[in-house]
Amino acid sequence: MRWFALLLAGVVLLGCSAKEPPEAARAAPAGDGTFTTTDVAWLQLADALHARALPLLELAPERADSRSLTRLAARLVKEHAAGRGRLRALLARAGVTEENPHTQHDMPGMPTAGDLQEAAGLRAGAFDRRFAALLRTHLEQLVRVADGERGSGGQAEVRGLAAAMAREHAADLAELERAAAA
Amino acid sequence: MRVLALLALLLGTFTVSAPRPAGAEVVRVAEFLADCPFSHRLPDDPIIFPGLPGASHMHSFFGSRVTNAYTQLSDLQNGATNCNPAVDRSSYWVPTLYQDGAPVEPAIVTFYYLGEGVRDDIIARIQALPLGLRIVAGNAKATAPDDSTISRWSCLHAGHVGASKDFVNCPSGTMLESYLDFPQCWNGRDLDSADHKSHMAYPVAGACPSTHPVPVPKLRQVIRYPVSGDPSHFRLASGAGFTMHGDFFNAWPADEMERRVRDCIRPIIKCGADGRPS
Repeated sequence: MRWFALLLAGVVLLGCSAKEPPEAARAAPAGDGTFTTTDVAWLQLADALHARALPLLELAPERADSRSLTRLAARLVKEHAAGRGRLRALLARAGVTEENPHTQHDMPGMPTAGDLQEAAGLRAGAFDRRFAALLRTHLEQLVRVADGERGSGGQAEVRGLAAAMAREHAADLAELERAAAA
Repeated sequence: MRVLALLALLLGTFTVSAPRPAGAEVVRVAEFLADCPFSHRLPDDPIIFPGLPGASHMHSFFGSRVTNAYTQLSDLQNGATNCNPAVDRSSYWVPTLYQDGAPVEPAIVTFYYLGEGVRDDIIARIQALPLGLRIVAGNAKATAPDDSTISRWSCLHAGHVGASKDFVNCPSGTMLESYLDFPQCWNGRDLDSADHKSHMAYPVAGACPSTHPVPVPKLRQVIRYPVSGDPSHFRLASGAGFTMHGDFFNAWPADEMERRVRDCIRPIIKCGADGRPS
């Protein structure tokens, strides 16, 4: 009997010490409302990507030659602001309140300070080409990471937002190509 | 005469094998190591961006041949490695180094596991690094070298250049090298944390803080790049030299790690890649 109790205690102890929250979260992407590490990583990265594109979008009205590019930029300023709002609301729900670790850091898909400075010095057709190239890189990265969350994320609303954003940004890319070709 | 020759031989051996403080008869270093060369490059990070391929800046991976954005512990345990010893299935990665825009991969990559950094009586009770532990050391997002910059740059075979927090100008014929020490105090509970750092801590005054009471071996990453000269040609995928960082995903079999901690670390003995006294 004592032997059995000892064994039981051992099993219970093992059960406790085998606690691996991140691993468990990753292995079980069940739509049960739990935010996984992938969910939080995507929410933070997408939020930072949206924020860092704003200074680029704001260059267009005074410099772009193409009116369709200017229109797209103006629409994206609003779309990005609304998107950030949805991303940040989910981050708050996930209990992530600290400053976004990626916002001040150059990540793929973010126009750098050098990119912005260069683009700001251009006008008309030269600006349009540079702007379109930087915006293409940005939107492609947004689609790429949203696709990642859609496939690997856990929490249903986060995956839903990723699916919506992947569609939205794919449509933005198509519009960019039409504008750049015109 | 023969006695004299023998004595000379012994003295010669002594001076060659004991570069440490005078009077030391054996090298008292708590150490084992793994040599894991470059494996592959991917813009992935299974710790920071799990499940999100292409989300990261470019990384150079060492050790495990299979690491990508989706990697979990079982993938490492079942995957191939290029480490010596081959029992180490861990994955190690750093931001890729670029010279004039072209990636440069290291010629020599060594991961030392050390007891140093805490008092000898604490070394004697160091625990094995737990299987599945993930650690990020260094600051990828640093905007300037400061007191929190842990990584160091120096030159192999040119010690007079001195260590720096940013890239250094190595003389022609030498190699640019990066040193990075990982934190060696564990909170005893979590294999990872939200910021991927706060489950680990650096020791204070030779002891582990009460918040992170479990001493584990200190991982020291030493990377030698076959480049030298003007540092203005170099950049890391994460930015300037002071953004150097290292990621470690522990997949040593528990018994192999435990044996090395018992035979090399706690008794303060220098071991090789096989975990036997060298």
